[in-house]
Amino acid sequence: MRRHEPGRQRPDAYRYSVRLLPVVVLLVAACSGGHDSDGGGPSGPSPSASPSTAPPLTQQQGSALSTRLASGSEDDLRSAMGIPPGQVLDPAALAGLREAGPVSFDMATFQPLDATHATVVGRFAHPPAGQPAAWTFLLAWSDGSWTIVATEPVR
Amino acid sequence: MTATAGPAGRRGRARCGTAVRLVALGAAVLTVLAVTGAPAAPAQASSSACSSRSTSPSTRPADGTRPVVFVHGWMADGGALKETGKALTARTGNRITPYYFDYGAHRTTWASADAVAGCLAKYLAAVSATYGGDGKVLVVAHSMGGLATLYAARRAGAAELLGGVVTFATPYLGSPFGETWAAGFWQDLHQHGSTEVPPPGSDAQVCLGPHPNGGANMPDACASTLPSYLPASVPLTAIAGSATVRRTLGPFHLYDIPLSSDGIVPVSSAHGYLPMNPREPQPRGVKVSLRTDACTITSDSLLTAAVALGWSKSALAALAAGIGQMAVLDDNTFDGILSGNLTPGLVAYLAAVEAAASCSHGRLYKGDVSLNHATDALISYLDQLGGGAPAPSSGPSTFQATQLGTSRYSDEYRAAIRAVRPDGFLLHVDFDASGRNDLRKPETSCVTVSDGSTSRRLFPVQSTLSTNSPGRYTGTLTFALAAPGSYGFTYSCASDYSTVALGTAAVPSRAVSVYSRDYFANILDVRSVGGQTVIRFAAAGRSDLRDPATSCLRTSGGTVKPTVTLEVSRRSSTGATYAGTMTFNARTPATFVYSCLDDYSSVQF
Repeated sequence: MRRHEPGRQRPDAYRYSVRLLPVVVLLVAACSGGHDSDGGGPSGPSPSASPSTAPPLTQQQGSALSTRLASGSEDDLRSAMGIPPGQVLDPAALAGLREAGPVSFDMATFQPLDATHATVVGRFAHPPAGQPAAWTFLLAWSDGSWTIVATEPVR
Repeated sequence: MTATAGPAGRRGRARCGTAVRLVALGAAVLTVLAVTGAPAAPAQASSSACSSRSTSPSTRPADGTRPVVFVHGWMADGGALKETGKALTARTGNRITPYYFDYGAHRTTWASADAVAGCLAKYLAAVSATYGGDGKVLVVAHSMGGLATLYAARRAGAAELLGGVVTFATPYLGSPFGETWAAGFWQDLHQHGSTEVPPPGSDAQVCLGPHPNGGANMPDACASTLPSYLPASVPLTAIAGSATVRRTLGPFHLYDIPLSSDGIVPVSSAHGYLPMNPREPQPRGVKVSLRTDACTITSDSLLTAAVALGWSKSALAALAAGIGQMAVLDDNTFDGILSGNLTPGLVAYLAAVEAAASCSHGRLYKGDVSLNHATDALISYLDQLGGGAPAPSSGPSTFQATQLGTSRYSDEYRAAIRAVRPDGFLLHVDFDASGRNDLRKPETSCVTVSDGSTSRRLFPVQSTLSTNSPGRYTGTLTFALAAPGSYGFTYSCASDYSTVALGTAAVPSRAVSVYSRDYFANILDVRSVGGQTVIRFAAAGRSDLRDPATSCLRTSGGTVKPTVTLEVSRRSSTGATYAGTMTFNARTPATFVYSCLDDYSSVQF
């Protein structure tokens, strides 16, 4: 909560600096520790630190995701997408995914967004009529594996 | 927002990522704000003086109309509701004159302050004095503007001036977005360059924090009291946005996440007028109508909106985190997860909802459904007040022509508009088209009508040609005059011809049953007469427009077909229009569907 003296006007530059100061401080403070993203310097991250970019989606991981999506198993779909047990799924989704699968991920399109999120293009082998085959998959890295957060048709 | 320097390494890097994300999000939020109509650069404050940027209160309202004062919300200015004002003016059949109150120079000051509520009370008094008559004015407010109206109403004499109030997404019980680091950051970014200093205890983003049932007080460190109720004689309509996000995987629907919120203000708060102040007795006989504009978007559309807005990778990553965070909700705990727990991911999520959902906080007051609700309320208020605002008596519509121009493909191919003649539900357009022998036929032309939120196309329902030879056509094309808004003519209805403005029509519009932009039925009026429901309508479409006699009213007792009396019936090879009344032997509540097929949208009465 900020307090101001009533009626007192401050110069713009002062106000701008003060108001954005916490952001600047936060950036400087947070970013000043260790410039070597590979962790080689004395002030670099410990061996257990999170990497600065997401680990790539391997062919094996992509295949495992595809298998879980198209298996027809609700548990597999929940684990592939991080859906909690209590959430009721549209029953048509499982059958639809089984018919549309498998999904082949194009590893060359993998793009990390930050340390725990990335995008990759995947293609449904048998998409429903009138629907695109290629989709951008938004992924999240959690507990040592990738899960699917959302999708978007490839433009 | 506070920060401390931490040790280098893992924590520091995590914080670095968060900080970078915040800055990226700030940019994203600003982008969204720009899309939703908030001003890009704040105005200079004039400490305690009321803004001169409002519509001059000494401007006389148009004859036969009643003033409606539009009050914007937090972080906006008087221009924010102009589109809404124009749409409501047209939809009410030109029965209102809009006045836009502007406190943009104090838009970070809480609604109860002199600079906001005090100025609004003075403004209402000045508009009322100019209006004369019974002195009653109506108010349409968005978000915090609704609270400003309540605070203004308790200033001496102001409540007596109000004839009715409509609020879009007003947080009567606060917003979980208020009093968070994100709201503060948002406000700070917008205040860059402003000289405004909110008085102590009057920081709007703090006072907008949640104060749900039983809380009885504004948030800590906010020096204001709760708003008071309006007098029972002042009816209030509260419109809420309720977005649902469908989680999808590729083309498959997985499940829905109902936000029960417009992304910023929960439905419970936007509808929270009656429980808003437990310390004050509610006025007896108060008339409060609660309306909801519900919309559904997909998780796909969140991503699409973010990409379209040019979000950085960091902002997209934050959105991914937000979608993931929302995906694990097993019930409707959106408010709870926001309250005191607003992560960068959720801010990104809200910003994407704001951009993608038609019923989001910043778009609610422009949406067709919300405008229908507001129109119903205003017409009801106007009818109840009587005297000061007679309904238009000269036919179903009025048409104000603009300066005539030419729809042209090139200097050689052109169609000059010679005259525009409104005729009840029809609009005659006299033209003179010339070109080479391959000049397209004039019957291929169309008129586009736009009311600021929707755009529809009208096709000639009649063509009378005095010259009809290849390369030269002159004569008259007749179109339906069935919807309110600005009319524009495009020769041959192709984008290679320019569109020329014809004028603006004020046609009543209580609701619209729509098939597509080329087929619609505008409901001008609905009345209950002796156990029957009488609907006045004007429908337009291409030549295969269905007969209005196929329409129906669905009630709890079944489906009822109308007896139709037509005032206008025109059909050509390119277009058709019907206008008149449908009389149903049934009472409301009911649902109306043009042609009784579900490919037209339904209208609730």
